[in-house]
Amino acid sequence: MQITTKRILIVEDDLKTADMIKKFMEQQGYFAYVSDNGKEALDSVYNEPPDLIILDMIMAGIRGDELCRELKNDNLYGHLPIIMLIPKEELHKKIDIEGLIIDDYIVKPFTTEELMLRTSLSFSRSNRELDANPLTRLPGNVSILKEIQKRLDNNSSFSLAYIDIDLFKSYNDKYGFSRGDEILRMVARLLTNIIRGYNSPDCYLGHIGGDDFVFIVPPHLADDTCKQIIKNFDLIIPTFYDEEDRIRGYIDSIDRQKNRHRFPIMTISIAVVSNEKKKIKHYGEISEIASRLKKHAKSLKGSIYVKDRRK
Amino acid sequence: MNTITVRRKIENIKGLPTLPGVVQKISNMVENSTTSAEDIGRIISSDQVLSAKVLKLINSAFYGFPGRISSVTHGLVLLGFNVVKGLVLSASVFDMMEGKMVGLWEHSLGTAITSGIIAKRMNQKDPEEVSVAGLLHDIGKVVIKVSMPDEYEKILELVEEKEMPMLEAENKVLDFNHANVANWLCEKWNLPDNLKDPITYHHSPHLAKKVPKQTAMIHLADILVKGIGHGQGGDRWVPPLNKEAWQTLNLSKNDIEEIIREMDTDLEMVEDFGFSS
Repeated sequence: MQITTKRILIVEDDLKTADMIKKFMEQQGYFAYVSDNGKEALDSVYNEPPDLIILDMIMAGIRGDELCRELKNDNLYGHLPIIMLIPKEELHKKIDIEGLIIDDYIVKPFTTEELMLRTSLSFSRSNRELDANPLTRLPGNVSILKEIQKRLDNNSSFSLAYIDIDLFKSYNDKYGFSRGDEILRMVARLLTNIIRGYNSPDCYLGHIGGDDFVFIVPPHLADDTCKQIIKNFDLIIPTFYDEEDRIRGYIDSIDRQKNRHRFPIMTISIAVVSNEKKKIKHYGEISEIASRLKKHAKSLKGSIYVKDRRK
Repeated sequence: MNTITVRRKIENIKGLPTLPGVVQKISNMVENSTTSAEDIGRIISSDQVLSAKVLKLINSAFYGFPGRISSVTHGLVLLGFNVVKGLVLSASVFDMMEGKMVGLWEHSLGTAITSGIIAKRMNQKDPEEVSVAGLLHDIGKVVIKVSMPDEYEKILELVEEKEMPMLEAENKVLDFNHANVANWLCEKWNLPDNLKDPITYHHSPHLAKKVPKQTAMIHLADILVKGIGHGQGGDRWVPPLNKEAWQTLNLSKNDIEEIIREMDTDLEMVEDFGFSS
């Protein structure tokens, strides 16, 4: 998405303050718009997603901190930087800053100079989010590795799954890379909803790159998670093909040697490794088992998940 | 009235109100911790405005695959429970329950169900998609009512007093009609052609280029629902069946009888869907 003018959503029920911020932001060359309550703000975020949100903590109805939680729990909306306006009086109370998941805050009353600095800081910080996959906004390799090692160090039991889209290349070759990117975004979204739907800190989702994804769940959830992923993937994937190919059920293509190939509709392969019954100390071990298993899964037809059964 | 100005106004319309009963029902479900995404999906799939909201959102550039999703179920899977919840809770409702609006909702749901029956009978590969097009075919009427209430009243007057077909009355008052309005929205909202074509051409199915068959199905469903008198689409008379559409469908008299029989059972089941509760 190419947006030249950055869009700022101001969520503030004190209209005087809201108007002041809006005018100031417009002078700075931003596009600013106001919602005076949380409910409408949510609607605004969905209808015209901003690049940054300035959010008043204390509002009637849906509170600023509730709205924040709602948005931050999502792979796409969670990426929007939020600056929270905290009234000076509130500072004396204990603010649960850990639970707020905001990107920055400003104490009310504030000066416009400070507001401007904080805004540019938030923008530049979000640009600096190095590791996140630029296409899907999911955590990338470095974070994934850290996450796995952290669990190994804690001796917590978990299931690690590697996901791979079968025949992805055939789709890219036929429809081009930008349509291929659509598939990756769709799959990321599908996985996010299932994994984050558990609403548990034990569940984790990352994007290694290309058509490779990783998730971590507690062992008892592994089967259900895989089944749901496969069900939803198989349900939606045909609609990403053009009508002709969809009805036929395969892509017809000719390679450089002028050989005809038939590529069926894409499927998904998942390899699951658990440290429940096996002592694993290092990230390398578990990833090696998983890659071997993934090769096996890919050699099987259709969407499928395989689990490591060795002790 | 300047059509371009109106078009811009309509394209920028923010929230379309829905019937309070539906939102209330879903709000209650959301409170309940055992509610699944499927449960909410079922109710959303019965409401034209909420379904349009879901499809609009998932086809927006923000998600990165515009124009690909034409099924409400798929939309719900990809939006996820939390976003859907937010979407429903942020939906506005009609301030007053109006008889005509309830009638239009019933007509839309009836057309959705009937389109699905026809699609299945014709072995259409994706009957849900046809059903969604049926559900949304009259969304333009809701938009006209909300964005131009005075003109909408005038249209209804013409329909009542001059016994004019609704489409003709709209053209007379506005210079455009609910099918044009729906077409603008489909474009603005990046809805797939498989929905856009049938919604735009349900009154003139011979003009549909991309999916003439599905369009003919919606055309027939609309007429059948009006014919058996389910809901209130706005017209006083049952509109004529388009010859080309009838040929495209290639259904026998026996098929139609079967379809109507199925409609009788299926429509009865949704009769007290609680639009007004």
